[in-house]
Amino acid sequence: MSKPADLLQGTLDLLILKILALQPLHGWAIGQRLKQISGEVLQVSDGSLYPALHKLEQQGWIKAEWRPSDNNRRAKFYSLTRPGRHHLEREMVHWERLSAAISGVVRLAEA
Amino acid sequence: MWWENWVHTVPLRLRSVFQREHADAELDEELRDHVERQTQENVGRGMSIEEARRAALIAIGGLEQRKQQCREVRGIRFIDDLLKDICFAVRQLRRTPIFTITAILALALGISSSSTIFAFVDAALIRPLPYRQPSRLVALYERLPVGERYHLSYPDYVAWKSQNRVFRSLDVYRPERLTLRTHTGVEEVPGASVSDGFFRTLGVSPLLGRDFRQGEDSASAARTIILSYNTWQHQFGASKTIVGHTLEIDDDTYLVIGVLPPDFAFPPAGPAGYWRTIHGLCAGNRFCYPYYGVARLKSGVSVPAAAADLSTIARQIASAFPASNRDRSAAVLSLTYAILGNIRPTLTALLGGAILLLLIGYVNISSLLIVRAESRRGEVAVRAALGASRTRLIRQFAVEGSVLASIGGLLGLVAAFCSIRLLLRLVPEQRLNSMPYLRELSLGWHLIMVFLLEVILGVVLFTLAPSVQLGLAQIQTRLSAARHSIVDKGWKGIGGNLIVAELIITVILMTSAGLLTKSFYRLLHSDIGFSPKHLVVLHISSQDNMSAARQTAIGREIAAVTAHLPGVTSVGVSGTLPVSDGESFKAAFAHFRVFGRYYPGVGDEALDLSAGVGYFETLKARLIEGRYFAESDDDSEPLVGIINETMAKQDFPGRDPLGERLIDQYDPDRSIEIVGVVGDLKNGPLGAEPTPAVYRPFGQVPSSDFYLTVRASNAPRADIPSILSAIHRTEPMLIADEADTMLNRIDSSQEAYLHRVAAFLVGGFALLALIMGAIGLYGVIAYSVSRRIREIGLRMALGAQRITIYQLIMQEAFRLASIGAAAGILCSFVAARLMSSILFGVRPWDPSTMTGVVAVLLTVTVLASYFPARRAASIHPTEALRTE
Repeated sequence: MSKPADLLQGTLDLLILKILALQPLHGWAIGQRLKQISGEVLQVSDGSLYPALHKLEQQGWIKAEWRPSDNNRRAKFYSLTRPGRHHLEREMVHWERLSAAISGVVRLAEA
Repeated sequence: MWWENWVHTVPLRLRSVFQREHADAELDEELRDHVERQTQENVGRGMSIEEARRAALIAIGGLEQRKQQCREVRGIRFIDDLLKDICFAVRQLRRTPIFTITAILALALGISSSSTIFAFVDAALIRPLPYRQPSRLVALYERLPVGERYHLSYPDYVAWKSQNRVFRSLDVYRPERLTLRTHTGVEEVPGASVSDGFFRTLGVSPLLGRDFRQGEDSASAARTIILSYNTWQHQFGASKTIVGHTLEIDDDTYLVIGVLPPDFAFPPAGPAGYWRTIHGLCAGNRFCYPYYGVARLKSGVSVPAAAADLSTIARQIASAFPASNRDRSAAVLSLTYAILGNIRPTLTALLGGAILLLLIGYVNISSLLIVRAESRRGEVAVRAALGASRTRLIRQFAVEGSVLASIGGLLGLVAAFCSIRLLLRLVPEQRLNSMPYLRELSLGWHLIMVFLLEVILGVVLFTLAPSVQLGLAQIQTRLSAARHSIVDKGWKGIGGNLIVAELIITVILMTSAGLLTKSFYRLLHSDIGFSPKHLVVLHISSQDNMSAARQTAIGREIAAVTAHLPGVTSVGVSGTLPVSDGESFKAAFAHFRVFGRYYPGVGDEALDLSAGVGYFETLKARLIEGRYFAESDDDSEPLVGIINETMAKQDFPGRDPLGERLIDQYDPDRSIEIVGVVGDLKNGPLGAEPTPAVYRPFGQVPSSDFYLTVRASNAPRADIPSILSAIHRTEPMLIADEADTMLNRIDSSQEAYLHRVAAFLVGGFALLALIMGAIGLYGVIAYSVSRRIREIGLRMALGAQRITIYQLIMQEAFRLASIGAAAGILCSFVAARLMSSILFGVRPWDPSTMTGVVAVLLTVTVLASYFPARRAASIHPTEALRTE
């Protein structure tokens, strides 16, 4: 299984949830949005995106539904569920704490 | 919220399993959509179509791998593997049909027998009685020197009720037989009289109409009656308007005021269908004992505390009224015990037997699984070597165990369902009436829980047995060793131990069955003092008021008419019958004293019975001295009586009672001359101790309610119709019922019934256990032979004789059997002591039973080991040595 080398484990889930919190999107669009927002810094391979989406769906954080899309074909749109939204909030708090701690350590090393 | 999460995930999981194709197609479409969009994007960046497509596919990193990953996160793999495991398990089981069928049957037998017995235990002992807070209810009796469950007099009831400080309420009841006049004629029906608060004390309110009101049980109150649900359903067509109707009962008019709820039953009062009040019966008479008591304890009061309080009151009454109450004290039993106490030990013993059988089933299957695991050691080692994880291997065993346990369990459940039906149908109607709670017996959730527990235990054991045997922890290291070992010590250890456990249980069950059967035989063949074969008995009564002379004449006439019937050799009438449980027996106690001796105020307790001319002769009783009654013993002559042997020994030790005189406490002006001594007849239930008895001639104490005993032809049952029709022709207004043969009457008495059920069921369990034990032993020995082929071949090549080989194999069987027998006999002592309360005439350590059991076990051991031994002895050395 190829893991995105430059992503902390579990971070991809957080990013996907955050993106879906804004609006429901299909898989390809999620990938595009990831690249746009992070200014191409976070290179998420298209390959690892789908297993992550399916896992989140199995866990009940997101749900999928087939809807017609811009190119006149139906696409699988993912959206956040209520438990998913709670989960995202918890994860964000967690992430804030973690990143604060890490940057603290990093600055300490510089000083 | 976890459940909110499930709303999404559960349907997804289900879809992944049951709509796989659909889910896969969607996954396909999703990924294709992605590739197309990416291709377009790439084209937009100036690539050619082919290039754009290739780049998109590369970016996604291989469609098939992605799909596989997505499937995995969907949890498909686990289920896939499970399905494969199940298919594999079923294939494995089908490859060894004999093993599979044996294992499934063993489990089904164990589960069905234990579930069946548990259903009875549940209905009788676990489910609460159908009253409000039944644990707070107690049954009250008067304790006499002869026993503790005797009737109360009305004054005692009133005194107990008003003076006690322990009961919230106290009431009395009295089982009766009522005469109901209907448009078709007259019939005797079971009924009961109760004090007005009886149903309130039990916490039962009528389904229709009203309960008895306070004061409705006084002598002057209007006659009212409450019907049981069954009577209302079957006699009165469940008519809603029954309340307000009147019934003709015992020559009085009764107003129906209510109907009891369907689940109500009160076994101590018999199958009563008509409930009326006591109407002050025997009020003010201290020598009349018509009642039993039932009371509800105040909260916080224990049964012993209540007994102590009542005993104090009883002592005060006894000192105030010694003539009537000198020997009477109080007995308080919990109502549950009073109702169920007699069947509890039997049911507990049966449940114990069923559990042992279930255990044997488990042990048997586990040992079979171990044998099988052993022969699969190679296969398992190879699978482990090829990379199967430990959990995966154990899971394989777990799946096999589950398949076995579920099939066996389901079969067992079906069998249990059938056998419950069958057993219930085998319970005689009369017994069902005394155990009404069995009517409520069904497949309840208690039973389902026990059943599930049994299946789960099975799964755990059947998984553990082979896993532990193969020592799955260090499986890899055994790969080579397993293949080439000649004798496997480890297997012999566990397998042998299991067989010994199985044999121990078999011995316990066989010993118990032997003891119970012997006890049943002893009970049926106990000395009842007469010959019950070829006897027909029937009850005759009349609701007309008749003079004593007319009653005497009727008794004589009926006896004479019957005596002339073809096949009838002798006839006699009597007030009660021998071997009668319960009411008629207890009600017959009176007090007698010997004329001319010091008299402290109350005589000795003895049964006061009546016997007509020819009664003792018909029973073929044993005349010890003096004479039996003659036609001349009528009311024109001085009173005479015959006493039984126990009374003779008790009141006239070392003296001749003939010519001595007795005085009936309730008839102190006349004395009774003893004209004969008869050997003890079993008056009470089978198995009861002999009690003193005084028989008086029917001609001097006649009654319009008596029994007729007829010694008839070889097929006594066939004579019943002609006897009945002869009686009807002679005296059409008589009611003749309860016609039965004496043997059948004895056979279906409660004592005999419980003993028979216990002996038959435990006997059946023992037989099944023996069969399973034999199969287990055979399995172990046969397997051991197959493992030792090389060793045996070697021995024979080195010159061992066939007989030595027989010895070698059979020795092993006998070693296991003797350990099992010895330990089993030791455990049987404990089991037998536990059930000593239901044994009659047999000591728990009965040497002949034990010897018999050991003999049977050894015979079975010979059989189970002979065939494998013969196979071992017929091994050809050269072939054996060549086998791998």
